[in-house]
Amino acid sequence: MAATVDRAAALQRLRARLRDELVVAALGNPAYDLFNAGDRPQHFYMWGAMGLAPSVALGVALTAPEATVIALEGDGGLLMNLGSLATIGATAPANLVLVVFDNAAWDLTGGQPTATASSTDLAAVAHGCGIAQTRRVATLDDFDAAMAEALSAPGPWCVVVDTAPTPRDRVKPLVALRRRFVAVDDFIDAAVASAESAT
Amino acid sequence: MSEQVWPQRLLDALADAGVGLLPYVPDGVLAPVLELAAARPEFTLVPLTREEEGVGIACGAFLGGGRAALLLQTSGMGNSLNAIGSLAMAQRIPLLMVVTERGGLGETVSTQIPFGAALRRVLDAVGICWHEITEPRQVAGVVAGAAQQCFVSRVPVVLLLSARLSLESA
Repeated sequence: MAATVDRAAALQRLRARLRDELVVAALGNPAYDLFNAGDRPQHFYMWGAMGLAPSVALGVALTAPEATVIALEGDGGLLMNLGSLATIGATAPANLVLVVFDNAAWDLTGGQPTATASSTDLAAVAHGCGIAQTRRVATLDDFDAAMAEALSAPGPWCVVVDTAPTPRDRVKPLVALRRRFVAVDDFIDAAVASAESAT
Repeated sequence: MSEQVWPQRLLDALADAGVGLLPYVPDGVLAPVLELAAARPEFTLVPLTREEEGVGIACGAFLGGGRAALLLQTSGMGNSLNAIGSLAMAQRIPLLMVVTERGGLGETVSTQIPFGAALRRVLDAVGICWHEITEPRQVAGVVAGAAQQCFVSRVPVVLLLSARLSLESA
C-alpha cells in the first residue's frame, strides 16, 4: 500500500481535536510537527532517548489514570523498543493511545529503510502483544476517524499510520523547542489538574 | 518468606517517600522485595522487557504527578545509561533507581564481573549520584535521603544494594 498520510497534516487534525489530553512526542519529526501544529502546556517533547516515548507515556498513563495520554512515535523509534508494546499489552492502561507514524524509513538521517519497509508489520506486532484496539490507517480521513474513536473509547489503542516522506521544506522549530524541552512543570501541572478535575 | 529485614525496610522507606510505581526487571536479591510489594496496595509493580524501558516509565510517572522507583540489577544499569543521560538528566526529571550489586563479593557468574567492577566509576563518569547500602540498619535513613535528593533536587539517584547486604541475616 502506498504511504499516503502527511504527518504534519495529521497532527494538525489531531491538534484541533485535543481538549485535556496529554501528549508525549518522540524526538525529531513527531516533536517538530506537533509543535508546528500548535504548542500547549499538555505537550511533552522529547529530544533524546529514542524509542522511549511509548514508555514515558505509559508511565504518565499509570500515574494519571484520569487523563488520556497520547504517545507519538515513529517506526524507527518503535523498532528500538518493541518491548514497550509487550509492556503496554500486559499493563493494559485504558487511557493510553499510541500513534505510530510509519514511513518505513529513518527519515531524519536520509531515508534509510527500516524493517517495516520489507517485513515487519507493526500493527500485527501490537496486536500480537495484546493491544486489541489496533488500527492501521492510510488516509487522513481514516486517521481522523481512528483518533476520534481512540479518544472516546477505552484502550489501550495503537494507531499505525502509513506515512509519506517528510517534505523537504518542513520547518524544524529548534529554538522554540529548546525552551519547551526543559519546561516540564507545565506538563506536570496539567497532569495533576486532570486528576483533580476528575475527582 | 525472607528472614532478612532489609526488604521490608526498603519498601517502608519507599512508601514513606511517596513512591507508588515499581517498574522492575527481577533479580534473585530483589525477589523478596517484589514478593512483599505485590501484597501491598500502595505499590503497583510493572514487569519490564528491558531496563531502559523502565527509565521511560519512571520518568513518565513523575511527569504524571507520581513517583516511581526503578528496580534492577547492575547489568541493567549498562542497558540504561543513554536514556538516563538524554531523558532524565537532560530534561531534569528525577529518577530513583534501586540497583542490586552484581559482580562483587561472592559472585559466581563471571559475565557479571566486567560491568559490575566498573559500575561505580561509570556512575561517577556520567554524573549520577549513588549511595551504597551495606547494612540493614542503614536502609531507612539512606532511602529517605536519596529519595529527597532525587525528587526535590531533580537528579537521578542510584541506591546501590551492596552484595554485603544480602549476606546479612538481620
